[in-house]
Amino acid sequence: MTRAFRSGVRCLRGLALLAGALAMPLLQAHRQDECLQAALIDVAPEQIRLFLSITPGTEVAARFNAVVDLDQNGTVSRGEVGAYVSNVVSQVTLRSDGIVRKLELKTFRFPEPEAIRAGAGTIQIEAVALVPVLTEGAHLVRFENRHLTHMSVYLANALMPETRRIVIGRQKRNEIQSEIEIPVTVQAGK
Amino acid sequence: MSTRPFQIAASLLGAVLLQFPAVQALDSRPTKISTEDRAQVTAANDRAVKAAEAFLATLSETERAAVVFPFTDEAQRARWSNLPTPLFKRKGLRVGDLKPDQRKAAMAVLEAAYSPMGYRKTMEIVTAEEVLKKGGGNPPNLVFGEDEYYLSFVGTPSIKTPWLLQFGGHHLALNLTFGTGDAVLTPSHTAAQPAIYTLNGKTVRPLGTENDKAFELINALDATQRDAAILGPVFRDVVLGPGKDGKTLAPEGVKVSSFNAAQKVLLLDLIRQWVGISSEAATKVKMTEIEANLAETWFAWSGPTQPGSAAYFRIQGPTVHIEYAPQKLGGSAVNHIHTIYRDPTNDYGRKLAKP
Repeated sequence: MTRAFRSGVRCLRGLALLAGALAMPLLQAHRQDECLQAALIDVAPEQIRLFLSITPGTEVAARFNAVVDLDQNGTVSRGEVGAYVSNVVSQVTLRSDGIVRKLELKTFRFPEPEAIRAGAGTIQIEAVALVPVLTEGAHLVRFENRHLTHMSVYLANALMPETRRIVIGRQKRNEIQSEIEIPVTVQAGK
Repeated sequence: MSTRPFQIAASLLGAVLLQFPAVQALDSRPTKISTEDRAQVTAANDRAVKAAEAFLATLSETERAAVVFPFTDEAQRARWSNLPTPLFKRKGLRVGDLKPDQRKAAMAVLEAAYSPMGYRKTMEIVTAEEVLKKGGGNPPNLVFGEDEYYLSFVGTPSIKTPWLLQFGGHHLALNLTFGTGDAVLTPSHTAAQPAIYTLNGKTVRPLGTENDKAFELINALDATQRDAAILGPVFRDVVLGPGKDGKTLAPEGVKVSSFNAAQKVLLLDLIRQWVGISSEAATKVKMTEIEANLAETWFAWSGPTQPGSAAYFRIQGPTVHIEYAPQKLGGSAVNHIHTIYRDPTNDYGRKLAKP
């Protein structure tokens, strides 16, 4: 079978290749006209951590850059990056048991400009909300992302908690995953 | 927006590495692997080592230095991506730069390291890239084709000490770590665009079996199981793809403990499409481990259940994480697939003894 396949590959090199129905434009090869925002949420007894990855596609890179480049001078300063990241954090909301919990920016990573232009750059943001110690029983964590809604697609998922005392229930999301509800049960024990 | 170069302060670049939490995995059961099975894996590993040594013998000193990295090189270990050249800069030796005898020896390494199914799947994904290249209309900043794959060894190929064989490029990243009596294929990324093409009059679907078996499984579930398995929202990509090392998702969907024997067989068959890329001996060991932990494994689905449609699915167990995500990027989502295969407890063979 393997030899036969090798033979096939040789034929391929001889251009005996038919890309039937595959005259797809390469513009489809990568996420182009949308920005992928992926949120991972880590629930711990005294804090909830948000890991947010933002990857703008090439066709929205210019619009994305315009959002970051506040003075529109074609360059992005450290201050503009900081302002952008803070703005992202302000455009997401985290609630536990119905109460909005303030997210504090903990760290971030901003990619090379070339990478963003090419659709290969991902902005990574970590933010933390301190919450009252989760007591035994049922709790509900809710996350909402309103950042760049006009150009984004979303993923939202809960991480496996570090402690076995915390059990994540069936997560509920809206259709586009810009919102997620995470049922949390805290079990007895250390 | 100005056309001037987009710049940011260099001090921001790569200055801060995110600290990801040490998440737990699902409870797993210890698995007993027979001495005979371990010996079979060792024999298979030995074939890979010999092929790797034969490949290295075809290289100049400079080329050898470019393809072999220290086993402790964590940056190279994690240097893989879904993206094409030059969006993601890979290291190692580029297949297109190899002389004919070197290229033949490089392919022989893959053939020795993978199962026949794994090697065939790998070459079909590579061939899909050639189809993509020859389809024309490529943006000048993107390079596709069978030449744009990279081979590297993290650690010196040896039967006595661990080493990692990496082969990857656009839509492919196979990370196969060899240890004594063990071979670990995680994390690995398979993908395809086009996911269906014609070669020499035959239809080729590099990830077609994964797709077909998944639909077979979802349609074999009863209504209660299916309700539990199906998640509401759209999943536009895999969640734990490149760059997401060290993270474990809370499980979702239907628990496999509710499956009957036939459903479990279907699931194991589905999982084998990823696990089985490694040698048949290593596949047997890994499948034994996964089967022992089936009761703590979950299966989730998003999208239509009609075969032929575009649907996302996820398998999560104590020692396995698989995602399959059709890409809706303007074309037919079924013709552009991303997948990821991980082991929350053993990515990059972290359980293996270090040299």
